[in-house]
Amino acid sequence: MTAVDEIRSIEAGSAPARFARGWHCVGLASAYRDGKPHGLEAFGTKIVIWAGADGALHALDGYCRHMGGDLSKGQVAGDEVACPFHSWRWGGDGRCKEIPYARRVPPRARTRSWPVLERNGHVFVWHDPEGNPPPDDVTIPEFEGYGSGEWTDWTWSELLVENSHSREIIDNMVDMAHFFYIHKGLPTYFKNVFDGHLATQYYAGTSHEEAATGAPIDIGRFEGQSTKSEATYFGPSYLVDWLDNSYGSMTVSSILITTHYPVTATSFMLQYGMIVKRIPGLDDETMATVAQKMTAMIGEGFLGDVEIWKHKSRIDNPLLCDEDGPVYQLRRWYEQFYVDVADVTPEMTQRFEFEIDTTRAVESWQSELVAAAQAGATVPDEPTAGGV
Amino acid sequence: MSPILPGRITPDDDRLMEELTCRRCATTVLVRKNTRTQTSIQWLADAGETCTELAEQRAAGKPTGLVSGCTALRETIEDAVTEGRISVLDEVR
Ligand code: FES
Ligand SMILES: [Fe+2]
Repeated sequence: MTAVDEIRSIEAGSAPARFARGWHCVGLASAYRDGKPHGLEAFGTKIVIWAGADGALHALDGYCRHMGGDLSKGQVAGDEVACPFHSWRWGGDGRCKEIPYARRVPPRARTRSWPVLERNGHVFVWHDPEGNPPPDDVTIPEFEGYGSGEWTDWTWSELLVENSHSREIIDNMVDMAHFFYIHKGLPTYFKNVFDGHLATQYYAGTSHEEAATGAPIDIGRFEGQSTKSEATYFGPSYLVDWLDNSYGSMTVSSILITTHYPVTATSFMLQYGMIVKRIPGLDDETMATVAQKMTAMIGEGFLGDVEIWKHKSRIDNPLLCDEDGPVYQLRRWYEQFYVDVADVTPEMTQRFEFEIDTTRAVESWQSELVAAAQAGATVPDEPTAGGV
Repeated sequence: MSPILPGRITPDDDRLMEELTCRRCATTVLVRKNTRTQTSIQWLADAGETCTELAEQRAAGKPTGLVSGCTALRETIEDAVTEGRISVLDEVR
């Protein structure tokens, strides 16, 4: 029997037991500044996050080393968190600073603290199974003009994805065709670059509505399409999408964040939100409505992804055609976050570029849409979730 | 997980990438072109060190991961295709 006669088997493999090394966004900083400690189920454990009186954010293991009290049910006391059980006061450095009813703090009163970063209004927690601090060159970029009033406030939503590993959401980075079938987009330009701890997707496309008119589509150019998106993962989970959508002569520029943190080895919290660049002549309220509407549409798009993940098989040996993106190279890149730093190979981080020829796909999809429109079908017109 | 062998795009695809040296910086990369438009490029070293253009971007503070590509390498590839040193797989079939 030759290879072409053989039945292809799926190698499902199994999800890694460990969690990725890297900065993981855990939400908006403003949400943690309500004077209360917050519990977060993440990385197979519970973390407590709070803002001290000085405004600095801290993260510790959620359970008190005294008798196991849940610190997130306690209170903020000055810069420390006070346990609800016997009021031991824990500092952001992981040390117990005070036991109000005791003369001295036992020298071993030290718990795990998690490095915290606040950037662009988001909070990040550093996870490293080896326990090393974050290297200086592995960080989250500051957004130009953020905080200057040039952008709207963040919209923010979260969605718990169960019985699924975050590799599924990473895979979408290279999955050109699913943007047509799941997100009702029509990609005309699609390129990926993996380099160091960054992975980028360049996406330009038009809408089903536009394509269905039968008007000629400019294939293979990044500029000039109604959707233009440059989406980069900074590490294993924080995806920044610089997204431009044109509606006629008006272009709406936004930064869309899609990010996740693992809850258990087989579930993760997907979070997304955006800021929109203020358009001269439009008031704050209108701008906020634009951001809310776009976020809601993007959220609907994610539900399409989640529905697929819920029912699909894990697959370690995907069978690809030439119009598919580089799934294997993307997964090799992603692997760097799941091995010890000493085991990161050059192949995982060396630059890899892959540009898809979308000609055949666009022709086929457009004729499908034109035929459907002629048959009287209503054609959806939604923006796509860039990168995901 | 199935490893990717050097020069390959997927474990199931035995159409190999080919070596090509950039005419500007003399970096050698692996290239494969399925069509005139499609291109795969595997860099074999730290691109931000070996490639002149990417090094310039890095020096200016931009991570190379945010640069879509090197124009000199793209031109090198285009010329190599014209001169038949890199084959376009769709056209040799
Ligand atoms: S268990 Fe936390 S103070 Fe006793
Ligand atoms: Fe998707």
